[in-house]
Amino acid sequence: MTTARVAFSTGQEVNVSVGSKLSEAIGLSGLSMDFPCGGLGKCGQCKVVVEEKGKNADEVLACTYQVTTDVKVEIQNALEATEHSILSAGVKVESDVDSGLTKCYLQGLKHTGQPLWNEVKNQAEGIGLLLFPDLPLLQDSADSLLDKKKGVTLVAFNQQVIQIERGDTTDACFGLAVDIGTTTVAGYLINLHTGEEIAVASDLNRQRVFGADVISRISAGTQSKDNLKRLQAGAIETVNHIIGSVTGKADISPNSIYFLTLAGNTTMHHLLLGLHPGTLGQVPFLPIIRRSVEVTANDLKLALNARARAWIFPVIAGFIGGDTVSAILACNLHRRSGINLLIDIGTNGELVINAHGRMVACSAAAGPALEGGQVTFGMRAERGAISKVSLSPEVKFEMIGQGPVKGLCGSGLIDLLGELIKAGLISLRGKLADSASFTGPDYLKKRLCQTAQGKSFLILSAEENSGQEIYLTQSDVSQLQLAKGALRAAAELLVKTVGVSGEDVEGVFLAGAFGNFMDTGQALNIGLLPEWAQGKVRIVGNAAGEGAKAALLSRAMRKEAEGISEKVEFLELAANPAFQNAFIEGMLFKQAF
Amino acid sequence: MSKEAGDQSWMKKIIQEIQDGLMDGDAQLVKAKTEAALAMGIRADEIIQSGLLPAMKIIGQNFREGTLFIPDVLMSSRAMHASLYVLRPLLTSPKLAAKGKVVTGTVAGDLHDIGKNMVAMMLEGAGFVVIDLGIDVPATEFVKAVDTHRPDVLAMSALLTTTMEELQDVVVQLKEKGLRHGVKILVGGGPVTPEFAMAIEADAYAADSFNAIEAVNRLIAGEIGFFAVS
Repeated sequence: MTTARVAFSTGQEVNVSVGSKLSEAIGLSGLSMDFPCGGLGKCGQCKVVVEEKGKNADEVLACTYQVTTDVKVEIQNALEATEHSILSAGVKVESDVDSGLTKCYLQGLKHTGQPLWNEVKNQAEGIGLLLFPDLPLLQDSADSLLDKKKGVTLVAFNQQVIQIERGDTTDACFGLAVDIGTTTVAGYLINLHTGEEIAVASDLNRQRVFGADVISRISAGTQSKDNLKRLQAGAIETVNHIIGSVTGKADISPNSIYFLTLAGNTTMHHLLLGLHPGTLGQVPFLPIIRRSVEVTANDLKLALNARARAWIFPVIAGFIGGDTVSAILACNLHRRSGINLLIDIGTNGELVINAHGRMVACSAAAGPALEGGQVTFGMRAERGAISKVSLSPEVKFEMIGQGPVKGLCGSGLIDLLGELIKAGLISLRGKLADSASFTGPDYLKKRLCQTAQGKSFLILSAEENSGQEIYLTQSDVSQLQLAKGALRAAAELLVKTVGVSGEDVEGVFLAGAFGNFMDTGQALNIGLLPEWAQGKVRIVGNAAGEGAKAALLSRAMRKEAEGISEKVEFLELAANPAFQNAFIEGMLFKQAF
Repeated sequence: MSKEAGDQSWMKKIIQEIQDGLMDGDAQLVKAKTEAALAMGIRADEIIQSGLLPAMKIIGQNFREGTLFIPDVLMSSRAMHASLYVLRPLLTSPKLAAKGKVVTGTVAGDLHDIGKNMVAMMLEGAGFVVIDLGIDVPATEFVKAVDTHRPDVLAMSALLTTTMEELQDVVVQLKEKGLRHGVKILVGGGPVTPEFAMAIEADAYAADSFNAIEAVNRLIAGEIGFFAVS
């Protein structure tokens, strides 16, 4: 098989087999790029400039261009997968460490003339552990059992021995809590003795080559067994990459990780386990299984101790997954009295209400705008993004990292909309003001302009930003309206469904990476959050990650998670006749004049 | 100004206000002005023909050109819906004067219907008899509806890549039952493409709700051969 060299303008170089798609080379290089339409050549978001040896430079789509000879690639919109604003910790969940994973050192084996296995079994039973002679365990432990002097360490999960190690290895006892998002995956390395968090890493989900959203991935996974295998592999590779990262940071061996908890939305759950996602893509959108699943790391080819156990969070419905169960666990929503609401904003939006013990959840198809998608200068919360902005008394902003501004992330976009409302630059229905009829101050008036995309508001001119203009277009506003309309409608309908009024809601918990930077006041101002949420909002950060950690460290928590998944009812908004009207109402900027 | 001329200008004014309200997506205003127009003696179908339909046509054009967006279209369609809600009971003998009959629905496994609802509403306003089977409609039900109602056009939408295949099932089943030739099939929805529509042997493809109206008109007019409106 012949190969060709692909050299990226960012410095990476890889060799690929002739005939490979450029998107594969991008994946191999460690760069990552968005393929929103799943590599079908439809959306044009993966355009790059290629220069084949001896030919002129040409603009092509990375998802369809095939590498046939050595080629240089000018790549501007790829993300270096390392520079991401790592989700900071959310609410700390209190519990005693009872992960179910224990290690016990047996100093010396008495040699009573019985087979070694019997010796170990007797001692194990003496301390309450069960020992079954499954083949991998037998094979691996044969070595360890022969060394009479060193003794052995029994590794047990839920009182059953899963590994026999040579010598005293009780110190090395780690677990990993993983939050698998559609876009970003985060892993937390935890010391299972102390419960202490040792290292964190996050990475972009390698499944993204199949599309940015769950529907694209469900669709791909349904099309062929090969696709499903590759989707599963994408998820596993991402987790393994994170394992490599945290073990590197902590300077420990992956073999010292014996237990893993995984929280992901239902699509991520199915694809990780290699389950056919067909039922997720059709009414009534049911998962294949709801309850938690326990597997051995080896079954999933996870790069930690081969006999490690993995506990996958139970899910609630087709579009309300283990990540929501995990978030509920972390916020303790299920145990609160009164009426409380959890809103988890990510690539999708999930809302859960607990009204005097009755729990109902719904999923809002917010769309990508709040994560910067389909907004001209929208971007994720990473270097170069405006995260906060104010327009009065002058234009001021805060950004992530240093350097020229590349765009705005979700919180920056929310701030901007809020400021536009305050300045009278946007109408009730979301129309940007006309420069001619705007009666406000000049420094704002001159920022109303026409660009290639039509009516726009200039946030930064080329001179103000090293040659790169940053503006918001009418189309951008409409994308944000769709996002906030969906989330707002979901909140209102959820409250109505359980038969209470918004005023009765006592606490509103805001989760999701995004929640960390968001200005609640602005979110209320633009109508993303209902008026009745004022004064009740608590930002809980990455609640799904915190819940995964809690479940890692406590069997009781895992049991609670199971209970939560059985208890929460699912409300299908799309089939709700009130939804369309609520959706439209939610799109309006009621604070505008 | 004579009394008649005065009335004429009042009537023109209120029709203009209805159009403006539609363009602005102001449902309350459009409803109020529709009621006022009726009170002035303007006939229901006149309000639709001069007020609602021309405005929706412009909105469709602007959407295509990219000066209006989905939120605008949704708000305007809600306004039109509000007007039709007032007018519907007053529309005279629709069955006799009907321009045609259309059966519509969203395929099995799918529950997206905003686009389909807009098509149904605008077709009704334009004088068609519309039988809307709703969402998650199995192929067999589409077939049964074609058999029962003998519509001119069967308009189906699929919004998920996972449910698109159903469109093909309907075409196949209609052929098996010998019903294919008696009806024109129009398909649309997010992931549906003209290529897909042609491959499954539909008669026409429409890229959005506005295009769908044009497609239905052309199908009823007897246009031969597959065509796409986008």
